[in-house]
Amino acid sequence: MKNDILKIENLKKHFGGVLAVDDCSFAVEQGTITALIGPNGSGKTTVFNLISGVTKADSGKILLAGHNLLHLQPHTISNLGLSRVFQQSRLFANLTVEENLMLAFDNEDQKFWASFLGLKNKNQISKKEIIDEYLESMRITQMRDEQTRDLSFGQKRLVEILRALINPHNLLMLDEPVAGVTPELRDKIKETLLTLKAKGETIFLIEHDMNFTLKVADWVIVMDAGQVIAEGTPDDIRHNPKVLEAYLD
Amino acid sequence: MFYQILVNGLIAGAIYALVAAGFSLIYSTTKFVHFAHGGVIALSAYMLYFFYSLLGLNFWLAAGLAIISGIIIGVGIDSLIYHPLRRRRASPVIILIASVAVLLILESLNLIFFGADVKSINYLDIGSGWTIGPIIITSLQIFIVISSLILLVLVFLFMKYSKIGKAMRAVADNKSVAEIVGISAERIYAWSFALGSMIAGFAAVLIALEQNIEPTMGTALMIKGFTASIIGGVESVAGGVLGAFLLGLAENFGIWWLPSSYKDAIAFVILFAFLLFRPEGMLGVKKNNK
Amino acid sequence: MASAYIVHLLILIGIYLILSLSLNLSVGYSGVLNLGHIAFYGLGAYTSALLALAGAPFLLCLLAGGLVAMFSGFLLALPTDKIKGDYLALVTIGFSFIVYSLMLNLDDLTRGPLGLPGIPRPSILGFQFNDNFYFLILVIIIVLIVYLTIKRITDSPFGKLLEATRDDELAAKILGKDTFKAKAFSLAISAFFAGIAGSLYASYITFIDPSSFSLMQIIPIISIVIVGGLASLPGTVLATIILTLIPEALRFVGFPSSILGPMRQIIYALILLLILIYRPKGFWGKVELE
Repeated sequence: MKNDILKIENLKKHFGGVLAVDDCSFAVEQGTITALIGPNGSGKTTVFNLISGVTKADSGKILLAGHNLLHLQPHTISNLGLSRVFQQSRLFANLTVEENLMLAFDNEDQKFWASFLGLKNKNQISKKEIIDEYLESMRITQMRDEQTRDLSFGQKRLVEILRALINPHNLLMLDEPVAGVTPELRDKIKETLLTLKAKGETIFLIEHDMNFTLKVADWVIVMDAGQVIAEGTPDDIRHNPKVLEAYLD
Repeated sequence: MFYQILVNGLIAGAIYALVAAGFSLIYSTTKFVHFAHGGVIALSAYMLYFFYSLLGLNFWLAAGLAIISGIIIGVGIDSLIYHPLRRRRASPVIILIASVAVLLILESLNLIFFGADVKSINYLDIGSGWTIGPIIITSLQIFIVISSLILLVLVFLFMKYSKIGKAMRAVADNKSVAEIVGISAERIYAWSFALGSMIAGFAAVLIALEQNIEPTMGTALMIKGFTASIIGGVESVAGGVLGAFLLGLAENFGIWWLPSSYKDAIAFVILFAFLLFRPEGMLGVKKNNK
Repeated sequence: MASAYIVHLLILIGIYLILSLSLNLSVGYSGVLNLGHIAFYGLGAYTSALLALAGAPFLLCLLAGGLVAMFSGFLLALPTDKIKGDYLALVTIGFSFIVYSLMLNLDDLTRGPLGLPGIPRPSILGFQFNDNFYFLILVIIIVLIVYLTIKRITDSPFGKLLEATRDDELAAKILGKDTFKAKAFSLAISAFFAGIAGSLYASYITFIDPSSFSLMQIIPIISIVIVGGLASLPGTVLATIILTLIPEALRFVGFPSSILGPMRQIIYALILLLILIYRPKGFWGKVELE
């Protein structure tokens, strides 16, 4: 399809003798919420790792808005427009919520001398305002100056999602965003994702919670044992016998 | 000339092999770097000096006591320092730092009780050599190589056939599974330290005969021993031994071309290269890392 | 005279402060456990001393010491991308050892174990710092500059980037940060200041030899950093003062001076072990050592 933000072609990855990702091909269309589902061990997180550069693929093509990500470093890939939230919490534990979010805006902090001499400080204030707005919208303003290690699981999730949102991106990848959260938080996240989509964001997510996935996704890709076994709308997938088989095995 | 260097390399290798074997044995079961191992060797060497040169005991008795001292110190370090750290779930990095601190304590004790000047053990006459073809080798050196090989073979047999040896390998392979079948990991750790330190004591006796004893000898030996283990593959004792002989050869051939002041540099460059390009060593299996 | 002794002590505290603060930048803020920090100290000292003995003006010697150390800091940073955890710590230990070994063996340049005597005291714009009191002023000024510089770095956005790298390097990369570059910078800066400390040490004692820069000299410094607490600059200051003063009490107990040196080391090593076992976060630490 013309408007594919992400295109995967013949992606392969071995781990020792095991073929974790076996010749996968699929695409994520711009402006949609696409879900990647499948039983445990089917290779979903590996695919995420390959796309974001955390693991090196053996072969294949990974195209993000036209750029081939195949042998790039994770930070380069991020700067090409990828934002990712991991399955386990990866916040900067000893930094505050505000500091965690500040880091996401841009890479001005990489510039040692500019940073040291305090140049380009004017942006700081508007960044803080944006952070305050985001925290307001998630109702966690009171945690702004807390170290993230002191946050509850649900609060950490929200901050991680905010951090990924602030990081400049054209594709947002979420690995099990609602795993282990309270039902209220799950609804909040569902609303957030739908709002983001309405604003034109493209979201690619892995989820085990079938209910959540089928309510939120526009398109579903199903993996099993390293291969893509089915693709379609939530309705298609709900009634696809191959999918049922994969989960019941 | 070539053959002389080859022989020198093998002799150096034999000593490094003993250092690396004890160290690798401990690493393979406990999965952390017992940097103080070098200190155990140094202290055992001083104990040999104490019993033999100062107290005047029979050499073999003194050697035995030195080895026993090594075992006591090694096991003592484990139970007093590493065990409490393990109970706190300390990371390998923390245990490494602790072991460097322990090495410093051991070296400082050597300095306090024996002073900074070098000591030597004159049991075997270093001078008496044999000339075999193009090679000159002393009876001491022959003694070292043969004793090392005998000890290494005994260790190998122990690891392979004895009950404790098998339990050690089980813990080395997969600690959780070993515990499920009823092996007490802590007991095995204690055994590893005992056995590893025994080898250290043995190495100390040989080194004391061949070289001088000085308070900081532990550090240099540890760097060499660790390098040997990395080259061969830290996960196995055989790897450590292989790496040790390779290191001995590399050093001696290296100083054929380079000035001898660069000898230690050779070890480090090799260490650096392996850590960068092949951290699993020659015999090791590549682990997938993040 | 008591006041002469106090001035001497304060100078030593000042030099240790520079070493500890710079190490905390690396370990506490960037998460790079550099156990080879003493190598930077030694490189700075020898560079500065050799230039001073050749007649170069003090400020040039000081700067050169810092720069040579900084360059080696960049070198040491190279493996930090591929190697982590205790393996990386071991590489830094190996680095320290090799620098020490070069100091000991390149005797054409360094005079080996004999050391470099007769290093001139600083002279800046014609003012000679022969009087220890004025030297202390010089040290205080430099310490202030170092402290304020490091504080500025850690408060700045770059400093937050370093802390993010320490807390979760992968997450930082996923945000688009080149963490390798950040770590390399921080290691280089840390090395620069350690080199400056070395230059001050050389021109204070006016004599240096390899023994002041052996691998084990890291123990007092890392103890200070951990006791004071990772990522706490005030903690480091307090810990430096306290830990420098504690072994000085030994002087008054009446131990012979040959024992003082190793006893000091034992005290530092014991303090380090106690902190690691009972309170790895130190007293004012923001972060626990991992």
